[in-house]
This record gives sequence, C-alpha cells and structure tokens, in this order.
Amino acid sequence: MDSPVALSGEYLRSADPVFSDFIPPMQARRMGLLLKRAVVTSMDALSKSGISSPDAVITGTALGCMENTERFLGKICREGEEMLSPTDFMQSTHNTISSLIAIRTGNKGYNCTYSHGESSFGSALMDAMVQIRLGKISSALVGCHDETTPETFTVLSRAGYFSPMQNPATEISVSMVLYEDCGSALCELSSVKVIASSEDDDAIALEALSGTGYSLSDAMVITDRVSGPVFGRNLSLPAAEIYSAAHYVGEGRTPCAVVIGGSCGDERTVAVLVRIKP
Amino acid sequence: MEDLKTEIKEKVIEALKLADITPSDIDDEAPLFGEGLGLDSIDALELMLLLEKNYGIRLANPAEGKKVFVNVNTMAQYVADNRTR
Repeated sequence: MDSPVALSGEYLRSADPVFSDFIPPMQARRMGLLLKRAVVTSMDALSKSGISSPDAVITGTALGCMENTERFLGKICREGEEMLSPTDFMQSTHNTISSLIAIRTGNKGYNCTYSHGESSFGSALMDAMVQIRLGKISSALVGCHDETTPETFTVLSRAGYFSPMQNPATEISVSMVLYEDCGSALCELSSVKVIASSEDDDAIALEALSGTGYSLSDAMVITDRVSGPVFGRNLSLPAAEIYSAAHYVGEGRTPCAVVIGGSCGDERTVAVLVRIKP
Repeated sequence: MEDLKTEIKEKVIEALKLADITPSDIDDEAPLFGEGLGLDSIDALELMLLLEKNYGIRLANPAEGKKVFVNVNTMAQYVADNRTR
C-alpha cells in the first residue's frame, strides 16, 4: 500500500489488491482470501529483497485460514463426514500458508508455522533470528497472516471481544525477509525477546534495550495497544507494528523502536527491537 | 447425452472453481488433465467426490479414475452407465 487509508469502526477489513494482477486464476482458484494475501505479500517481500528462494519459510498465524475452516466445519455439520472436499480440508490447516509459499518459491528447507495466539508472529521472528545467528540458515521469509471473517466477527462480537477504539476487529498480512547480509538495508531487526508479564510498557522497553547501548529516550515505543485512525498504526497485531516501526526507523526519525506485542495482562509479552543499522 | 455433458461441465466448473471458464469453453474431447484444462491430482479427488455426490457413483479403485476422467465424453458415458441417481 503506497498511501495510508483512514479507517474507523470496529470491523476493519483489509484493502485487497486485484489478486489476478499477481496470481494466475488457475493457481488462485483454490486459495481463500488469506492465502491470496499471504502469497502477494510474500512474493512482494521476496522480490524487493532480491532473494527468490529463502532458506526458510516461517509463518505466524493465530487462526489460520478461517474462511476455509468455517466452510469445512459447515460442510461437516450439513453433510456429515463422508463426502468432504479435500481442498477445504487442506486449506483449513494452519500450515497451509507456509506450505503454499514453499511450493511457489521452490523452498525445500525449513518450514514452520507458529499458532500461538497474539505471540505467533513474535515466535516466528524469534525462530528466524535464532536460526540465522546459529548459522543454520542465511535467509528466512517471515510472515504474519490472519483474517477476521464476517462469521468470526459475529461470534466474537457476541462474546464482547471487540470494541471500536480499544480492540477493533482487524486483519493482517505482512511478510518480511530476514537475512544474514543486510546489504544496503536502512534498519534491522535487532532482537526478539519474550519478557515476563508487565503492564508497564516502559519497563518492557528498557528490558528489550538492555545491553544495546540505547536508552529509552533514543527509542520509539510502539505497543499493540496503540490505536489511531491511520493504517499501519492502529492494527493490533505485532507484525503491523513492526512494519510501522521499520518504516519510521528507516526514515531516520529515531535510532530504534521497541515494538511490544501480546495482550496486556498476558503471562508473556514479546518485545521486538528494530534499529538503524550502524 | 448432450444435456448430461453440459450438466457435468457446469458441475466441474463449480466444484473446481474454474473462474472465467464457461461450459462452452470446455471441449468434449479435450483432456481434463495435463494439457486441455490442466487439472491436477487434487482435482481428481474433487471429481471423484463430484461423481459420488451427484450421481451416487463411488469409484472403489482410484486407478479407475484415469479411464473415467480422460475428457468430458468419457465422464458422461461413465455417469450414464453407472449412475444410481
């Protein structure tokens, strides 16, 4: 997306591109909305990084392809378990996203999906970083993909899960490429930490900054509780915040950014440090 | 038989989500797999399901599908010979 889009309300659906511009219809016919988004963002990230086939494909998704899951479960309810479509079953699993991207990129290496609620993307990032630092891989495509279908929205709304300002229903599809040699990249992902629960964002940020030489005044602290009217700043999932942080840090507005993910009050919080390259 | 062929084409298009393809685009003699429509192994499973759901035909031996799913003509003939509904 080239320019921000103002959004309001409690059900914020993604603004999708024309998928046929990116995926041939015969290849897209079995893909649900989330898979199409994942493919487009992944191919875009890979194209911009110049890496056509990364060593690893790692995905974080809390709910996976809900559209297909709902369709599959609906058919079980309506038609029983005898004659179910293999396509709906395949697409309803969490690891469909990573698998499909691996097939499209010819990746036969490490392939992993994290479905750890709101920590899914943080876990995926951490996995990529650890493996790169251990020298097991030199590049990884890391993505965060989740959708909120109308049915999911209806059900969770009845449970009082969403609210327009504090917790709107959002969707996310963000992909990024991590690699050993950052080349001319302006900023880099410096660390991903799982930190014991605290409701004090500054305390979490300080812990994430420890040992980096930065103080709190050098950093922009972005939490998943930030809300605002502009795309990229009001989504509740960490991936969007990291994307936003990288954008701001890359523009030289601040030396680094700490992105704090996970729900306030959770047992664990994920803190991600993005900083300008030395 | 012509009506059955058209019906099968419509059901194939729907089951396999062949967007932008109409029954008239599918040649009765054109191969369904490989060249022609270019279907794959997952499509073969969907076609087996299509026969069972719509015509009550259960292919006990998946290898049989190779002969049945050659093209629309072979599918229509098999359905006409074996349908239970």
